[in-house]
Amino acid sequence: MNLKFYTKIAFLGIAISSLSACSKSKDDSAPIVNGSGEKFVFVAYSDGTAGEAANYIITADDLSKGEISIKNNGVETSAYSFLVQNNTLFGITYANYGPTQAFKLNSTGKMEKAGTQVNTEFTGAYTPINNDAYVGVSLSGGIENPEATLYKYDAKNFKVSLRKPFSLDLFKTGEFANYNAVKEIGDKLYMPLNSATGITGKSTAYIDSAWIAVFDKSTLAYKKLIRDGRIGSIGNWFGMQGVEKISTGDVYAWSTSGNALNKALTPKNHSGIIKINPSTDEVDKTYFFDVEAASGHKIARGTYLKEGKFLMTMYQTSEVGGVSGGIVNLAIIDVINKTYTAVNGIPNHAQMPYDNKTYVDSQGNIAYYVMKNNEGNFYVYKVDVDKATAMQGARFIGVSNITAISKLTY
Amino acid sequence: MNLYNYLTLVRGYINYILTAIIVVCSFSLPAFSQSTNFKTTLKALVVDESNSPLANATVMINGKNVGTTDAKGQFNISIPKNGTFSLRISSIGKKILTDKISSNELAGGTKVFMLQEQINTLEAIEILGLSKVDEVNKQSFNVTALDATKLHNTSMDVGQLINRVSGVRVRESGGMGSQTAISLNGFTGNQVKLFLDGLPIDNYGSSFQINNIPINYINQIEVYKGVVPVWLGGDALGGAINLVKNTKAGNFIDASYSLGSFNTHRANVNLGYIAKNGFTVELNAYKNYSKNNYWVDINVVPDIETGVTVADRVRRFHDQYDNQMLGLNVGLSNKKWADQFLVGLQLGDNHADIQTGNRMDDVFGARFREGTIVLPSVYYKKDNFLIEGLDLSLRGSFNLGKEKNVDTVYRQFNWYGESIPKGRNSWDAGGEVSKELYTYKNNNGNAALNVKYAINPTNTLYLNNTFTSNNRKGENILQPDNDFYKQPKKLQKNITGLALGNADIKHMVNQIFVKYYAQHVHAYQVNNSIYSNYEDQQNMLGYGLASSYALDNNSQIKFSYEKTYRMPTVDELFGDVINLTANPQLKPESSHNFNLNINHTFLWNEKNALAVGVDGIYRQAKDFIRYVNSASNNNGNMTQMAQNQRDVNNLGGDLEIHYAYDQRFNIRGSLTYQNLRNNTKYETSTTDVSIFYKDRLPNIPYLFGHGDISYEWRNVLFPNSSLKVGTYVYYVHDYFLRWPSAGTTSTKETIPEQLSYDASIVYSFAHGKYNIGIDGRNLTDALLYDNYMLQKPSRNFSVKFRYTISK
Repeated sequence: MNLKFYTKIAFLGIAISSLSACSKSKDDSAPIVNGSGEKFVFVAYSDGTAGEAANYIITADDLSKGEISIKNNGVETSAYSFLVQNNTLFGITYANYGPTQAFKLNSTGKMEKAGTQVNTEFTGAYTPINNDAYVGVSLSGGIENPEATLYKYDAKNFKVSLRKPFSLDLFKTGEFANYNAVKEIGDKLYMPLNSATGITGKSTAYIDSAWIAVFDKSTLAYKKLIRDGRIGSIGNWFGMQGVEKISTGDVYAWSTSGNALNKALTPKNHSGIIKINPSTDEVDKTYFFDVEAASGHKIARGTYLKEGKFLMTMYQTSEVGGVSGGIVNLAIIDVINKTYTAVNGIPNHAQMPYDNKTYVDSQGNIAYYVMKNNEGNFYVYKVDVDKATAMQGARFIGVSNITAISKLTY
Repeated sequence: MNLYNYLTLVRGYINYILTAIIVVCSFSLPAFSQSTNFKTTLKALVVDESNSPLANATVMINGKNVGTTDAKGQFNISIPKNGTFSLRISSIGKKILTDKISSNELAGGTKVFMLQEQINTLEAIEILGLSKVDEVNKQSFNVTALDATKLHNTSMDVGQLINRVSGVRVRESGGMGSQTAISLNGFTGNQVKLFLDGLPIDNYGSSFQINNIPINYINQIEVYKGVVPVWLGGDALGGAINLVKNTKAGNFIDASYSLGSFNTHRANVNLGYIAKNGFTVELNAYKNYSKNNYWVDINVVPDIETGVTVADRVRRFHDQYDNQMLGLNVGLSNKKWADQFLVGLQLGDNHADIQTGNRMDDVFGARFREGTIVLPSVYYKKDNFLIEGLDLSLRGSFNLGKEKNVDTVYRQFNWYGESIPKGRNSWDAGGEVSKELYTYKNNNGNAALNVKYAINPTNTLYLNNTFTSNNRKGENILQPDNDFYKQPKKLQKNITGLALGNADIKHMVNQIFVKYYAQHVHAYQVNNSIYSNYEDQQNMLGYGLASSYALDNNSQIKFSYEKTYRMPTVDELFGDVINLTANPQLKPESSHNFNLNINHTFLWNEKNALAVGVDGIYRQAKDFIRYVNSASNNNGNMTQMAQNQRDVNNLGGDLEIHYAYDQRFNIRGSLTYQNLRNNTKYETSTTDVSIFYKDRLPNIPYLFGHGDISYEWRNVLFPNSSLKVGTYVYYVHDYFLRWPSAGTTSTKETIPEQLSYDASIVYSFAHGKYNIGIDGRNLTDALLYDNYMLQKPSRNFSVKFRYTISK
């Protein structure tokens, strides 16, 4: 063959790859070609009991079919909480000092440790901020010592850059505040709270209120407390969800308004969504989306998609789960237009513990959602946001939970 | 009658009389023999090899017994002048001395005759030094008995000796006083029961644990693997370890002191006295102290604010351990109504700094725990109690001691001992983990009744009833109004065992037994903030058999089987305050345990002995209780729940070899292989066969062994002395922390291969009255872990001085 032929092949190759690059930016759902530079990253918690099981970080290219197993596959880690920042997966161990280990994809697309372990705090909530850091919150000291510490973690240089303790004695009622999440809202941090007695077996007396503590993002200083009396507490313990800023710049927060442990303590308020103005940190009293009245279901969890749309799991029966439990199904909720659309194609299933395991593509058109079906098998479903349909994809083998899903590049 | 006949008759009578006189003379005392007819006196002094006079030695001259030596070993006799005679002196246990003496040799002084020790051919058991424990080892059970007295000159603790038994792993998480767990054929924690003289001691609190009990406290350790005889009443799924206390009959003093690396001091005194009227006193006292400031290789955080880690080698700085114990037993021995009746009191306390959590990077600088023991006890023993052949013993104790957990310093520490405040509140607002000032008492009582009845020479009946009670009462000074702490947590456990031993078939010893386990638990349940009483009763019937066949004097084959149970503890059933939720539906763990042992002792040239033992074990266990994350919270703390989650199979074996020469040179080695496999086909989360089905169980070593060589020189420097030098090697093959099949193998957390060496030199003189022992441990300064990444002490030495005398 002569040089001309090779040149033609080369041009063809370039043309094809540029074509696929173009199509990639438009539609992320195209099958990922091997070695193209990105992978889905799952953190899977293995079967087994407390001493035997651990999280395993596995990568996958194609989520539409097949099996993803942790048998002899996956990076073993003792970390329990995961978040992605700066194309790096951070694993925080749920233990004293919160040892944190970073993971990256190497040049061949294999997951490996990046840097050494760093001590942080015994972390109960976390959120990425800016594009090179994340914020974590330490566990509180309970009713005897109602305070916690916010810390900022430098995700580029792998170290804690700031620590700021704050009081959780915010209600002045004799009860203290437990936090459910911490979220980046512009140049502030919003922290949804619920009231707790701190005494084992004794439930809170304040169930018909929603609170959010507001902090300054750069100094981590406490600013104020927002309260609304139309819903119950926002989010759920260790859920990392409940409040989100949408494309318009406004902030929306939602509540289950239920009580899994004690039906008698169910709030009288409906499950619904409120709106907060982030520049004034005030609740918009004119806005209330009574989702429970509109759909007949209480909200379980929610993840933001695009254009004011959220992918939410809704309790299908009167049984409301707590940190986990309860039967749910997916729905797309538009907070701007106050619409509720059930998603077709996925059966009723048990609410995953803590938070939904969802990955939303950069456009907000496709969401990947992991659930455990009634036979006890884990599947990833691909949700088409515009059509409100879900399609069953790959199955996980050897796992008892999927802790996180994300996408990393290499 | 004519004259001839008459004279013959007279001669006969005279002969008769003369003979009679001579016979009378020869049978009489030497004094009578001192007749002026004999002209010279033989003065003899008979002694043994160590020049001590030998009393009652028989002396014969010319074949005639002429008397015995007196209390001073002396013997005097007149002998004919100008003659030679044969002399024969004999004494029990001594070689007979024969000699030909000429009366001219006797210059009038005392002649000394030394009798040599009679050397009998030693049995193989004696060459191997196993005589004291042979009777236990020959039982039909899969049992290993160790003679602890041989190690009384070393500065070991009981845990280190138990670790030398094949199939046993004692896992420590640090140095002296650290948390210790015993694993027996892969069964751990509550599945292995510990006894002291047949009474359970698993609830004695932190002041009396196997890694702080000095070796001088006990005489013997018996390890029963998988099948436990009825006289050790306990729900021991994996087996039982019985410590036999140092009770010598008679009067004795045993005092020792040792000094070692890391500022380690151990002192020990054991005293025993039995008066003529039977009044008995036993005193045991010991003290342990160590700073435990050994070197560790760790990732340190120099700047706690940033949290960045740097690898370094530092000394532990908050690991001090201080423990003392005083035990006194007073009573009567050898009375008509009791062989022994003793009333005792044991007092002790301990203070242990807590340096780390479950991981070494979880470092603390102020947390500690303390405990006390106040233990009155009673012991009664009578052989032939009321009926001939009925032996009875009763032992009881009650622990009034307290335990205390303290965490009140609100600071974060690093491995350099530096700290920063955790929050804005005052230094005592919280704790290093969470503020805790919790004091509790277990109020633990134990009573064991043992009856042994010999129905006939070949059939014996054994009956045992062991009763245990626990009443946990705690107080959290920081939450005095919290009803949670005031809820009852009571447990009563009663185990009755009945066994029949039979030796009718020649060379065979058989035993069948049944055990009845009954447990009653009384605690609380929380439902919608309302506390309600909850009670649980569980009764199980266990059974088993043990058989041994002696192929010949030196070989034995044994088989034993038991269906055994482990009852759930109060915490497993009803949780605790911090992060364990209740599961009242919890069932007991159960197991079918099989053992097959073959051992043989070779003996040749009267001085060489070789013992070889091969054990095979099979365990089929169900419903192991494990903790599962229960995905709920307790005011912001993740909680766990105990569940019957795991079925386990174990097929394994061990090989033990012991060679000894002339009771001086010993080589020992043992290798254990245990193939613990997960037998749970379906995990709770899925309907497919679990990918971990048949996987090796995580975090349990499966191949390990040890070996040692020792040599003894006798009469070095001083007579009646001995110098023993020995070296020891431990080996554990690496194993995974979690499921072997989960994750990419190169990324998995492992407990690496462990290889360590110890050495010891002991010099004793004056028949073992004075002893000096020098021990070196971890001579290669290897990084040693029993538990994932919790380092044990670096290279260390100790010297021990011991004085012991007994009558």
